[in-house]
Amino acid sequence: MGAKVLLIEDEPNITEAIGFILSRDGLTVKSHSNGVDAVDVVRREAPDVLVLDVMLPGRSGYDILQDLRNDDQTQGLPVLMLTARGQTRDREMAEKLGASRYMSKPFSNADVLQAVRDLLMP
Amino acid sequence: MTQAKDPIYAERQTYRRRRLGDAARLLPVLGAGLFGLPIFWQETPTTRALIYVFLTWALLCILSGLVAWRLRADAAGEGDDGADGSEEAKPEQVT
Amino acid sequence: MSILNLLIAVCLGYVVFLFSVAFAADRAARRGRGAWLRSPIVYTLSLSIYCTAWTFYGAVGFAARSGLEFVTIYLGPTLVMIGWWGLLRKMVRIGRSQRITSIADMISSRYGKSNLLAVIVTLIAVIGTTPYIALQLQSVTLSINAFAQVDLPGDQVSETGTTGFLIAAGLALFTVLFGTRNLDVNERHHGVVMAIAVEAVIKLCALLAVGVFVVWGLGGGPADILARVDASDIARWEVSNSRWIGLTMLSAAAFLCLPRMFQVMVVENQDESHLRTAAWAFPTYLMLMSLFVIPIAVMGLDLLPEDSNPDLFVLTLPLMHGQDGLAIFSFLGGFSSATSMVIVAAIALSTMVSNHIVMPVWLRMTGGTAMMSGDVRSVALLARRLSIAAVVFLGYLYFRLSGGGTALAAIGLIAFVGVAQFLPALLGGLIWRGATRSGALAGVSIGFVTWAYCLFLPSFGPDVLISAEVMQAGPWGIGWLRPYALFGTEGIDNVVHAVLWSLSLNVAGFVGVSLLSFPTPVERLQGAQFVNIFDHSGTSGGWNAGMAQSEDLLIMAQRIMGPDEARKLFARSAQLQGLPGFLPEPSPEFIELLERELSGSVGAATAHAMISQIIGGANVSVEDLLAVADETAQIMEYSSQLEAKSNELADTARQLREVNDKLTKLSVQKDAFLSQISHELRTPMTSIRSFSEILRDTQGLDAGAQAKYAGIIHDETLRLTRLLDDLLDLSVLESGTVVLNPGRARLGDLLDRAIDATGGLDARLRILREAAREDIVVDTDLDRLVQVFINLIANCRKYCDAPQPELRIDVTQRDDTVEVVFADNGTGVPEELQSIIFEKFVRVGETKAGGAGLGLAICREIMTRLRGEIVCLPKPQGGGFLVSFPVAGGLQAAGENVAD
Repeated sequence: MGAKVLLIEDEPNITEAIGFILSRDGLTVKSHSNGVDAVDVVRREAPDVLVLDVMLPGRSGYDILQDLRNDDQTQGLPVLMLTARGQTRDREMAEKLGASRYMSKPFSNADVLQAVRDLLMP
Repeated sequence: MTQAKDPIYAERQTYRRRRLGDAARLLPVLGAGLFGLPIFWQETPTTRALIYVFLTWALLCILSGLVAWRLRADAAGEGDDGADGSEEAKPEQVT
Repeated sequence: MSILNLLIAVCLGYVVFLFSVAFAADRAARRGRGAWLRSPIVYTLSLSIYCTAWTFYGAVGFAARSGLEFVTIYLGPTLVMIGWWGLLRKMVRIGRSQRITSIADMISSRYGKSNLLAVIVTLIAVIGTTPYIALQLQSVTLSINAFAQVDLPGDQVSETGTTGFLIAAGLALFTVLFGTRNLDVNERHHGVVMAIAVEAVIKLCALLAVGVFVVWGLGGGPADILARVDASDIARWEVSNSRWIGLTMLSAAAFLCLPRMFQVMVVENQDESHLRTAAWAFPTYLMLMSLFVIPIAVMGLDLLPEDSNPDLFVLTLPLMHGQDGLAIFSFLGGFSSATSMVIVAAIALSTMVSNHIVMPVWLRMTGGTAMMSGDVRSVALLARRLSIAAVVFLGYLYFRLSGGGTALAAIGLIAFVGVAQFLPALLGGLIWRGATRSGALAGVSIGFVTWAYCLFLPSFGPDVLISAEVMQAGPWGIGWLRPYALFGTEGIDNVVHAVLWSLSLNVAGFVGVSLLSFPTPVERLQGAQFVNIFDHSGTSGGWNAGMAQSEDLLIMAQRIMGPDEARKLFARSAQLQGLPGFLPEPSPEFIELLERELSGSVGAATAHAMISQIIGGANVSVEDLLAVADETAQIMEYSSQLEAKSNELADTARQLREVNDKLTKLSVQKDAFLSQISHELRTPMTSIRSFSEILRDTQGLDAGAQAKYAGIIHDETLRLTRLLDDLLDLSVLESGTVVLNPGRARLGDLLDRAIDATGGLDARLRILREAAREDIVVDTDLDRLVQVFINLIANCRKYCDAPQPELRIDVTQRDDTVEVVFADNGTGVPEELQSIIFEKFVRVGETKAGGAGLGLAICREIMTRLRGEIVCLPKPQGGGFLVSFPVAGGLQAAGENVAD
């Protein structure tokens, strides 16, 4: 309980929605809306779970994920990827780069919550 | 010394060969003349003509044989010379 | 009956013997053990086919009727042979160097390889030879009947046809078997030549044997015979001068021109030096053949009954005196004469017919090129065989239709006159360079027609082919055109008359037309080669020279194929021929192989030309050179075609690549577009779904939050709707199917409408305008223009990042074009985005709710439809956007354009 979830998402409404869902479950939710400095933010915040959007202004979610996986500190960080582009190619890309979970938008709130819980308790 | 002799010999050979060729060419003219002679004969018995024609015929055969034999002998000599010459020329061609 | 059976048995045995001789000779020649086949004696004996059954039997008959005159038939050839150095040598040399296959080939080659000439010569040869073959069949039939008469007097006529047919069929079979065994370049037939040589010995011995029997057996030695001659009907020398000279000349001409004589003398000639031997041996042979003719004739006249046929004295004299063995030997002599003539004549004629008539027709019909492929080879052999059968059958047909008899006996001399028509063209071609093809054609044709009219057609008898009336009074009563008295030359012997006129007109036509016509280049070159043959061809080569040729060939082959390849090929061939070392004998098979190998590298015509330059002193003919040039030209044309094709291919490939690139790009664009759409649709839907779930599932949500979340859902729904509207709008604009509604309004009013639509004037954005400059009436789709304005103003509201946002709207008119600049005081569009700002889904800065990134793309499409444009202005020039469009008329043109 009280685990920290970092949400990187540029769409404010979605950020708000996810934040609401996860907070209600007792998680601490932090959010960030820009891709450029996302890796730094992850390192600084050191969350227990990362929820990462693919299409971000400045830098793609895939690039961020790749950087995280190449870094010792964040190598094992559970990452839930969200994408609005829903094509198989995207799913394959996410799996290849080492995303822990993958979800396409629009998602069910329950699914997101469950996914984050799963990632917190392996 | 032998080399000095050869050209003169060859030239005589060639000269004789040419005259022999002339003789060979003239032989049928002689033959035609001899065979044509009987048309001028009047009231001649066939037996005489018969003997004349066959004797002439035999003569022509012998003459022709002689000319051919002389030509062959010359050609043989020349052929040997030619063969020697060509054998000398051959290696030059290969290299 | 017994003697006839014996005769048939001996005859069959003799035929089997001849077959085996021919077979053995052929085999020996193929195994390269044919040295004895090349003896000059064999060559001389083969020339004896001049003496046919007509001379074997007929000479005695001739002598019995006209005394010594028969001898002229042999004197002509004797004169030709003893003069070999001048003429025959030249013909043989040309025949070898030009690879002449027949007299027709010789004449056509001399006159520029004219096939028309060859065809005419062939036809005359066939017409002249067919009766001659009939004559041979007749003589054999008659001689068999002579034996039958001994057994069964009075019963001979019934078997005539069958006997003739059997003989013809047998001869055709023999000729096909040994005459078409191989189709080598030289057309040499060792088996046939050997069989003929054997037959020559048989016929000479037979005649001599009969002569000896007559002189010393029946008569009392030479003196007695001479006495009998003096006492006989032919005792007086009553020879007509014109006939004596005319017949001698005629036989000399025929000796040179007869197709069968040309075949053995020139085509089958192995070595030019054989002529030296033949020069004396053949006249001697002829002399021996004639030696006992007068004695036999005289004894026949003396001893045999009045009505007996003098043509068969050779046979009947021993037969009547119980000398059956001698009679059979004599029969074999006659049989040999007849068969050898038919065989060689059939070979010669079939060569001419197949080479000059059948093959050209076949090649033209199949449209094939004149390549010597295996296919052509088999067709040529088949044509040769069929021609042989046809020639022999024609002879048989003539024999049956003419019914034999005395009419046929006269045909010997008539045929001589026919073939003598080749002489002017042949001799003229050898000694006179000015002789032309047209001249030769004219001479041969005129001579042929004259011969046919004056001698050949009348020979069938009055009213058969030429009516008795024409014979008597001339055609249409024109007296000086009478066949036997042309131009009033009456009182001459028919044959001499025909010789005189046909050859005179022939020569006149030949010389006259030659002088008037101009030869083609090929003719001139061939003419020079024929006339000056001794200037540019070495003495003919024997075996050693052959080896020298092999060495030359090796040197040449090495240059073309490479040393190792060439040496291997030569060594292999030498091994196959059973020779030690690495040089094979240049046999036709080897030459053929080499030519084939070389033609793979340099082309067929070139290979042929190169090899023939070395082999047998054969000169490279102009045809060869032309073929080389042709081949080269073809290769060049082909390669240029290839080049063009490959260029074409490269072009096509490039176009394909471009199209492919375009398609790939399009596909990538489409994918990107779909991906973008998906993203733009899913994003608001995500919010809607998420918040609606929250509203549904969350108990005890406070009212404020409820209202806020419902508001978000509402806003996102509107965003979705707007996005869909934009997409539809864009697709309509892009597809060009948009319907424009022309209208007229003041520009200032339109800007007012746009500003009102974006929320009116408020404190958040100051809009600066100059009303006076906006007083322009525009003629365009007003709603669409306003849509562009709204977009630009809304963008400014959304994206202008200045603390006090200001938008300046500046209007200028240049000629017929209105320019409206929308410039704000923000940072403007980043430079790197300026080039793509009008693309779909391109957004500047972070996403804010409401923007799908399609606005500017729609603006650009609209302005294009309105015949104007919208561009992004870089910051130094004020920043913002410039919209320009025509004041009026833009829609008209656009409408037309759409209609197009």
